[in-house]
Amino acid sequence: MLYPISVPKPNHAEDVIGFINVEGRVIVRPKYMGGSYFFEGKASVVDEDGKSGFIDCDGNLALPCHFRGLGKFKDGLCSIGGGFINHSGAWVIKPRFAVASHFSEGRAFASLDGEAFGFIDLSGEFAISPRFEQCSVFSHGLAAVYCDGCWGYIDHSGEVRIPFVFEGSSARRFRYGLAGVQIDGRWGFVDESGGFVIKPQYDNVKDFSEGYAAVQRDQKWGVIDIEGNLAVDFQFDDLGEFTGGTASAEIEGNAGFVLPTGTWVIRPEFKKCYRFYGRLAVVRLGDVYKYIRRDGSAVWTSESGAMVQAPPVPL
Amino acid sequence: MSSVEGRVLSPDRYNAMLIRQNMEAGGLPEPAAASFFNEFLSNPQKWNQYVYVRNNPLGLTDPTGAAPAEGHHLITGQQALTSPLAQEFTNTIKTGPLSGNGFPNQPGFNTIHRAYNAAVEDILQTVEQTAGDRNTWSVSQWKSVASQILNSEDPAIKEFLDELEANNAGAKAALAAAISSYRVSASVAVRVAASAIVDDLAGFMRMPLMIVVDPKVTQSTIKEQVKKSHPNCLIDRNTGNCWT
Repeated sequence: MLYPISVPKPNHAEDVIGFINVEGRVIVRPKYMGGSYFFEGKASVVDEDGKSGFIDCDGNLALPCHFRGLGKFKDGLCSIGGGFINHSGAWVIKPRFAVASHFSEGRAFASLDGEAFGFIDLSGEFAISPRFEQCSVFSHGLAAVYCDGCWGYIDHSGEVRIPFVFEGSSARRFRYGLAGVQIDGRWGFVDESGGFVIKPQYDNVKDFSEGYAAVQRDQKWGVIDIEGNLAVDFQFDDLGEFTGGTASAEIEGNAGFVLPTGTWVIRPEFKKCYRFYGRLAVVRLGDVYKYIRRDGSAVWTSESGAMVQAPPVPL
Repeated sequence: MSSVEGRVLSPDRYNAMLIRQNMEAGGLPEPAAASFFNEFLSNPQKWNQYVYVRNNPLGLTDPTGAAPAEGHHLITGQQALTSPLAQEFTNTIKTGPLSGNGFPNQPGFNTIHRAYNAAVEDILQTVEQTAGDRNTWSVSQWKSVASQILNSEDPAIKEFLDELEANNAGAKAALAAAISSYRVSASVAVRVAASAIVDDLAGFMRMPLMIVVDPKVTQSTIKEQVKKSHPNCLIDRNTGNCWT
């Protein structure tokens, strides 16, 4: 796997994008106008004409640049331009949507007008008609959907499994059998039957990952396990999801990485830390950013003022 | 003599009075020459030809040196977006052509523009933590985020937009109006359908045995795809094979 790097373009506000390997050696010299992280062996790149294609792990152009945007492959498909392509670049579902998520459990949420969302199957037809204002992808057989000011959960056939009783800007997807939801201004976690397993008591929560979830109270973040027990007291100003045993954490303006015990594994000596993606993570320090290993050592450092190449949100 | 008089009266190639006289001497109708001269007088920023894009700092470029072309896009990073809705929305939420003080693509301008871009990206990433990938956002989600950016108290965003407003009165109001009035256009659906046709043809042309220079398929888009997929090849017209 390669990692995108950015180099400021002389006398411009934009950067050009190249790629390094895990040792920090430049494999693709900075020449693209945009570049993504790798998904299923491909990373999307934007050429100087603004069209996007995909490179392989050797940095060679695997799919020529005739798409738009930085697509991400998942389960063999990539949502791009309102349709879906496979790893050969062929359209599996031709573009006809204004918005289309990636597929999960054979369903992707999609919209023809950007306002009414439903779920399509792998043939590209709506299996659940567009009638929701927002959706999340399926996990554990359930998807959060938003309608008339409330969130609920539906199954693959569109039948309501957990009633529309939750509020807020989002209802989280199920992880480890639990989903974060907000009710009466407080966040808790429900199981697949809709019953609260962890009572609404937090100001904010993040998804469970590797058996732990970040929860916020009085502006500070702590960690709970799937039983709802407090594993790390509320002490962080920000706390990410655990990936590979560590999570990014910030305290008093300094960021590093912590274990699920709350112990610093990489000292908080950075301005901002992003999650580990494979073996490397991006950290910001002053006006540069670095790729670091899990032991905290840097493998590559950007030029001053370069645009940070942050990892994408988990699919 | 003031600098303005010097510019208008000096006998260089940008002297509007001389250009008008030459236009008339060349046989052009007097109204056309008058129209040119009046338009020149109506915009003092044009009097000094050493000014770049009418001293516009924020969002204008002038690749040919002729005239500013486009306003400032509120949301940056459009080229990374895959959703037709996201592409259209971010391309729609912009100001009109701008004027004012500044130096596009100069170190000072690049510094505040880069800081603005980074701060906007931070907001987008923060929203993604709860709302998911920005390419899956609805119209209402995009409008909410755009308003958040426009009204942000982040110093980098505020400084940039305040500078924009100071040099272009009404620019912020124009951005706010663009957000509130945005509707998905029919062109999104048209563009989606068109891209499918083009990409089907491109996929057809990538098949090695099918790469034949056939007069029936010599549209410019097809030839371009062939070039890009085989940048170092010559193609045998008889066999369709690549000569590397």
